[in-house]
Parts: sequence; structure tokens; C-alpha cells
Amino acid sequence: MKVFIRQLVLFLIIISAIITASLFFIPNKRLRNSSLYADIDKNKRLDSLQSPKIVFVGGSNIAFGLNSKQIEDSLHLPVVNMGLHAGLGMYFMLNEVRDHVQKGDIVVLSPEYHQFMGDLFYGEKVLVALLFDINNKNLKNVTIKQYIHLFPSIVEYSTSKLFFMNLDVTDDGDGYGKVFKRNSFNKYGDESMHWQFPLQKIPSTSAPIGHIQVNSEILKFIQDFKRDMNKKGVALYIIPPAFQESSFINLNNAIKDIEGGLKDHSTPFDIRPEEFSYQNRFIFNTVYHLNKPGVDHRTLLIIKFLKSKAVKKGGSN
Amino acid sequence: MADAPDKRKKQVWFWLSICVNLGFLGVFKYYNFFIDSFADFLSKLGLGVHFTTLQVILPLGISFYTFHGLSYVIDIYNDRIKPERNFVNYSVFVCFFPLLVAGPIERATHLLPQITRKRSFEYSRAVDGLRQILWGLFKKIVIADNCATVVNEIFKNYHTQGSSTLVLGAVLFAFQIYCDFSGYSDIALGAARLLGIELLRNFGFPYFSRDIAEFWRRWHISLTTWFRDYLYIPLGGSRGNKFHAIRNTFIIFLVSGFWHGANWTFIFWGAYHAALFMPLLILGRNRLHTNSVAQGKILPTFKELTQMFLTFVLVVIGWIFFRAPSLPIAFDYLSSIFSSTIFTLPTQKVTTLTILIVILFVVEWLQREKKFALERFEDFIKFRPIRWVLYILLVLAIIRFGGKSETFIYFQF
Repeated sequence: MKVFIRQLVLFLIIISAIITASLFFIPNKRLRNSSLYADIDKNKRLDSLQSPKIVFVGGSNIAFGLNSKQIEDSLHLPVVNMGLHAGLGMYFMLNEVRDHVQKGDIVVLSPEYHQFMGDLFYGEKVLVALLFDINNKNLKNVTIKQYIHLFPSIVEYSTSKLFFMNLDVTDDGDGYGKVFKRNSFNKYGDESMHWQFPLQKIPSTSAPIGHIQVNSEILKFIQDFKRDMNKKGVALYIIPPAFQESSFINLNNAIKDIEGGLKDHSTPFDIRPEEFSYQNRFIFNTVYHLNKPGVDHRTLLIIKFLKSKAVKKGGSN
Repeated sequence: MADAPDKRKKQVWFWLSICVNLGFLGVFKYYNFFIDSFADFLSKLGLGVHFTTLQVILPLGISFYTFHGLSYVIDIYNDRIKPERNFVNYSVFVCFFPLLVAGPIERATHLLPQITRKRSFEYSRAVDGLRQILWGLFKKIVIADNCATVVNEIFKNYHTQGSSTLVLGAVLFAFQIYCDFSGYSDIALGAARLLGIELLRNFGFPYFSRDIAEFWRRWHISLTTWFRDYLYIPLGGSRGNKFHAIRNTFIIFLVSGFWHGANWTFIFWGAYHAALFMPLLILGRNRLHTNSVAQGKILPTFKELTQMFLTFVLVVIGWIFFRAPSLPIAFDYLSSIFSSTIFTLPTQKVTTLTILIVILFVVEWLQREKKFALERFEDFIKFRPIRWVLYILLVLAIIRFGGKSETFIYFQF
């Protein structure tokens, strides 16, 4: 029995050592052109901008759904679009900007609805790729709880670096073809390469779901974040994501639950979700991604909203 | 029952036990099927009758532990074993955790003595147990779950797919169900072996069969032999004239199909296999291949290869009925295969999955004379470091290529 246990432990140690070594010492060549690298550029811009500034935070709905230059020109405030990938999780997204905003700044948060469902809050495999192979300065923000949550993704990601074969397209970086690469973002952080592309194949509608149990952790976290921002003199606005109309109808009850949850935590959507529900002719390649006409429409609505909040040069009021 | 003073009372107790066991199965698994089928029948006669159906969750693995219970009762009735007076031992026999939800279907005569006997740790058996678990996990997580993703997509939208894609869907389902079920069995057998218990073998590399009769000797062995011992033989088996043998065989296949689920697709699947089996039975060729294919050789002959291929094709056709939600859909799926798009490439990209299936195939082929693919692996690869490298690669492959988690198919039975 002793020999058996000793060999079993040795076997597990070898496996753990290989996985750990792979995580830290094997570069992920597949990520070279990945959109995740845009995080470095976005952070550079975030640090370089003088306050007051407008910082957009969210997943790919905001990356694909904004014309920051137009906002900058209209409001005469520098803008950075930090939106990248929903899989990074709201916990990471907000912590990433937390220490980089000062008094007078405006943070506009546009979380995907799916952030509130399940356990996307702490992030998934793309976050592991970002933390360990792209921008490891963010590792300092990772808590023990988040590490525990990410553990399966860390093991899976680390192991993926050992094999050259892929079973799914997402492992190729993102599976979006030409768009959603580092060089497809403009200097403001908007994914803009797709603006010149014709209509893509219309994405399939999200499957209908009824009422949901909204992740209370994310609601509490956003509430705390808002309190911190208020203390710093930073304005936080929460806007709904751009979303395909037919999916919006299918998820109507869930969206109402999310809306209610945010309201109960004193962090309601500042724009009605219906306003950002788009017909297929405004949708690019996923239910959250807008094409150029969609981007133009949404940008105008956001400008109108920010103007209604009397946002002008001089920052938030 | 064992203490009954006379044969008549013994029979009363026996049938009471059988009815209670089958009663649970009937209520939970088949009640709705019979009610719905009866209502359909009446509506075809112009009688619109509404019956209340049960809205209950099917208890996990009910078909498996019902059959454990039945085998216990029948064996006591036939004086093959003495009744187990220790409640804990009996409970372990019925609910032994590795086989509770998807078998193998154990016999009281085989498992109970092992439970009551004192067991001791044995290094080589424990190592073999771990190897079997590892191979089972590889089959389930890497092959079956990844096949499931492709198969589900193809079967869901089969009417929009080209025929080559439909063929791919059917073939991948063949691998999915094999790796799913035999993977579970490997995990169950391996876990039991770690505890010093040998369970019945459930699979013997069925896709290397040269005819349908051999396939059924290698597929879900514990169920097939259960039906043979507790239904086929009591019905008279192959004793008597050919007609009796054919009738009994047909009954076994139909019941076997029905055992899988309360759906006409399963019954048809059973009947289909019966139809394939009959010519072999009539010609007396159903026990032609009782040994391993190409025994002692590395490669099969051309004839053996052709036989294996044809058997596989026939089995795959049967799986379409097993997988389809209804008979009309199954027939529609099958007929859609025969179109000009058979010569186009499938729309699904399965290159890596194919490589993994080839790896599975090669390993199982090389080890086909063993009970499972990694059994006594030290005889196959003598140098321990190389064996360890292969084990490590398997573990990493399970982590890396693990598909979207899917429930074991046989949990529903």
C-alpha cells in the first residue's frame, strides 16, 4: 500500500510540476495576434490621459459598440474604451480601472447580461491567458478567492499550451477571423476594423430563458465600486449592453431580473435596456456586437445621455 | 422465500418479489409510455381519451439496480445462493456505488461473495484499477464528450445537413455511445478493483466484431448475459426446434431494446438487431467468432477487415434509431443520407477529434486480447518511465481536450 501511495503522490507531483512549468515558462504563440493584447494598449492610453476623462468599461459589447472619437469630439473630453472580452469578468474589468481614475473622471460601465448569470464574474480562461501571458501586472489584483475560482481554467489553459492541436476555434485566439485582433482596435480602444465590413452572417438568437437568480456577488461588487468611485469624486454610470432584439425578447424576464437586482442595490441602469435592443441589421457577428450603423446609433444615444448628465469639459458634476 | 415451508409458498414469495421489483420499474419508467401509446391507439379509433401521466423524475439508474434485485431473487429461488441475512451486505450488493447508476449489471452469485469475503490490498490490482479509470476517463471526457458536441449539432439540424455530414454524425455517435458507456464501465470496474472487488466485464472491444452475433457478445456484456441467463434460458433457449430459438431470440432483443427506454425507437433498434442476428442463428453461424480477431497477429486479414467494417456499418445504422428522438425522424435521417451530397466534404471540422479517435482505435486494437486497453500495460511496455510518460500524456490530454461536460448517456436507463 505504501509503495502504491508513494507512486501515486509522485505521479501527481510530476503532473502538477508540468502544468506549473507550462503556465509560467511556455509562451503562448497562438495569442500573438489576439485581441487580448489590446489590453496593453488600452492601459497605456488609460494612464496617459489627463483627468477629466471618460472611461468605458465592459466586455466585447462595448469594444464593438462605440465610436469613442465621436464622443470625444462631442463632449470635448478624452475617451478610452477599455471594453475587451466578457470572459475577463466584471471583477477584473472594474479592478483594472479602479486605481487609474481620479476626481472628475467618468466611468461608464456596460456589462453584458451574461455577467450577471452563473459565475462569469471572476472570469474564465481568457482572463488566465491575459494574466499569465500578456499583462501580468494585473496579477496583483487577483485575490485568493478568484484564484480558487480560476483554478480549473488555469489548469486547462496551462495544459493547452503543451498541445499544438485545437478542438475548438476559440483556442486560435478568438475565432473571429480578421476582426478582433490587436491591430483591429483604434487608438481609443474601439474595435473599428469591422466598421468597413459588410453585414455578416446573422448570429443565431440566444436561447430563451425565464427568470434567473442574479449573481448577488456582482451586484454587491458594483455597489461597492460605485461607493468607492463616489468617494473619489468619480461619476459612475451604468448602461445596458447592445443586444440583438430577438435575443432581448427571449431573455426579457432575465433582463428584468437583472434590472431589478441593480435597482435594489442602488446601481440602476441609467438608460433603459430597450434602448440598446437592436434589430439584426445593426448586429455584426454575435448578439452583443454592433456593426457600423449600430455603433453610430448607440454612440449618439450615449452622447445624448452624457450630455443630459451635463458632462462637459470640466468632468463629471 | 428461502424459508418457505413448501414450493407453493416459495413461488408466491418469488412472484411477489418479481412484481415489486418490476413494479417500480414499470411505474417510473414505462407507465407514461404505455398510457400515451394506449391513448394514441384509442384516438386512432376515434376515441379521444385523456389519461393522467406521471410527472416524476426517473430515479437514477433504476433499470440497473432493479436488475440487481431481480438476479438476487431469481438466484435464491433457484437455490444458486443462500439469502444474505446481513442488511449492510445486501445493501452494498444492490447499491455498490461504482455500478449504481450505469452498471455493469451484477449477479448476486458473483458480487455478494466478494462483499462478504475479507479483502486485502494488492498492488498490481490497484495499479490496474487506476489504469482502467484513466482509460475510462479518456474515453468519456476526451472522445465521448467531444463527439457529443458535433453529434448533437448534426442531429438537431439534420434536415439542413448534407449526407456526408449525416454519415459523420452517425459514425461519431457510434464512438460517442461506445466511449461514453464503456468509459463509465471502465471507471466503475477500476474503482471497484481499487477496493478489491472484481466486477463483471461489460465491453470487449465491440467494434472489432466480425458479425452481429460477435458484436452482442462484446457489447454491454452484463446485460446480454443477464437476459440470456434469466430470460432466454428460462424461455427454453435454443432447446427444442429452430422456431423456439428464433422466437426466444427475438423476445430477448425486443426486451433489450425496451429496457433502454420507453420509446419506439429503442424497440425498433432491438428488432433491427434481432433481424440482423436471425440469419446467423438460422444458418447456425452465430457462434462462429468466439475468439479475438486476428489473434496473435498485428494486422487482420482483408477478409476480417471487411467483416469488421460491414458489421460496424450495420451497427452504425442501428445507432441512428437509438439516437433519434422518434422513429419518423430516424427514418428521415437515414433516407437523407442517400443523396448526391454524400460526395461532398462534411461541414463539421473534426480533424483533431479524428486523430484522437485513431489513437483510441490503435491502442484498443493493440490491446484487444486483454480485458481493457491498459490492462497489464507493463507486459506491453516494459520500461516504466515510458509507461509513465504515456500516463502523463493521457492525464494532460484529458485536461486539454476534455469536451463540454455531458451526462453519461446510460444514466437515463
